[in-house]
Amino acid sequence: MGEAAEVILTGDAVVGEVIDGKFFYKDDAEVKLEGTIPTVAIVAANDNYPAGYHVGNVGGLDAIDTDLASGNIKKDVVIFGKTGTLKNSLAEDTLADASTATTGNTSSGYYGFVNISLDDDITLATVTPTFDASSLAVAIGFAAGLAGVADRIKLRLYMGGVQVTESGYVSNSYANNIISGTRALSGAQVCHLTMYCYHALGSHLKGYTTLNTTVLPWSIGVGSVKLV
Amino acid sequence: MPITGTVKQVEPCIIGDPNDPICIPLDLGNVSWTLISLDIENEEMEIEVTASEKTDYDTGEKDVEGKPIWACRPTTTEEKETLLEHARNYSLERMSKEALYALSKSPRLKNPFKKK
Repeated sequence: MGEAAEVILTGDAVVGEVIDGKFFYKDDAEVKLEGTIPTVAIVAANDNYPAGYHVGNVGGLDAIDTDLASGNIKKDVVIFGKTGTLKNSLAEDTLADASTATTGNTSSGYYGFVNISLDDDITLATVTPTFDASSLAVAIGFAAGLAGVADRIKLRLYMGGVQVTESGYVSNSYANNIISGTRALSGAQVCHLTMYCYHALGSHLKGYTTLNTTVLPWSIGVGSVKLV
Repeated sequence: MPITGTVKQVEPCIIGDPNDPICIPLDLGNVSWTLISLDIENEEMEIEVTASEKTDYDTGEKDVEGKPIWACRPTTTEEKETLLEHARNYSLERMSKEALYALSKSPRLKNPFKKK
């Protein structure tokens, strides 16, 4: 009987290069080693890309998450080789308007009349529409009339508690004063037209009308569109 | 521009307190402006400024009660440039935020959602 040939093991794998649960002998026939690489998978529930052994999916990533489809990706954006075709469209969201009435009288020269002092910010017209979460709103404020004194009063437009527009000084000559602004809004939000006084001596705003006639010189209109 | 007021909500959109709205606390002169963007973390508002198309002026005449009679005329190009330059002087481009707040005598923006 001849001597058994000596087997020299020359494996160079380490446990971190073999799948967990699989065994091998590296360089010592008496030492059985077990791999430690975890078997992992990409799942639709999150965007994790874990380290480990991936069985893979011949169906591709869109077989793992069917939401990965051209129709769900913004137009011309390419994600994992899929070119998006999705185009948002706009739809009407909400419309609202309100006006404030005033009546002419002789003491104010037939004009509807609102006094104002320094740093007063007096609301002239208000609406509180409810906006969609993806809406963009436009507000228009309208004040027909004149300031009692030049260079003292400005009109302001607030949307959701944020001033979005301010006019120049309201003239003391009759004019149709119009201001407009835009904002992205969501939920029920107050929008209002105000007049603000910058002068220490104050002033007043006159809405043009005639004696004992009720008119609506101060108005606000709000409209919005939303993504669908 | 620096801003004052009180923030009531930041998501899904920034909402201010209607009783203490987010606004610019400075008089920019006879100009109109519209909001471009709002940065409540840095307490800044970006606005687009337009000079007034009309200017009131004292005619030098008096009415029956002795009050000056004012009239309105179109603003000249030179006046528009002056108005815009005046407004620009009240910007972060020209002055520090602290100086502008001091000038306005208004409190800084109250924002309970500000990141520490």
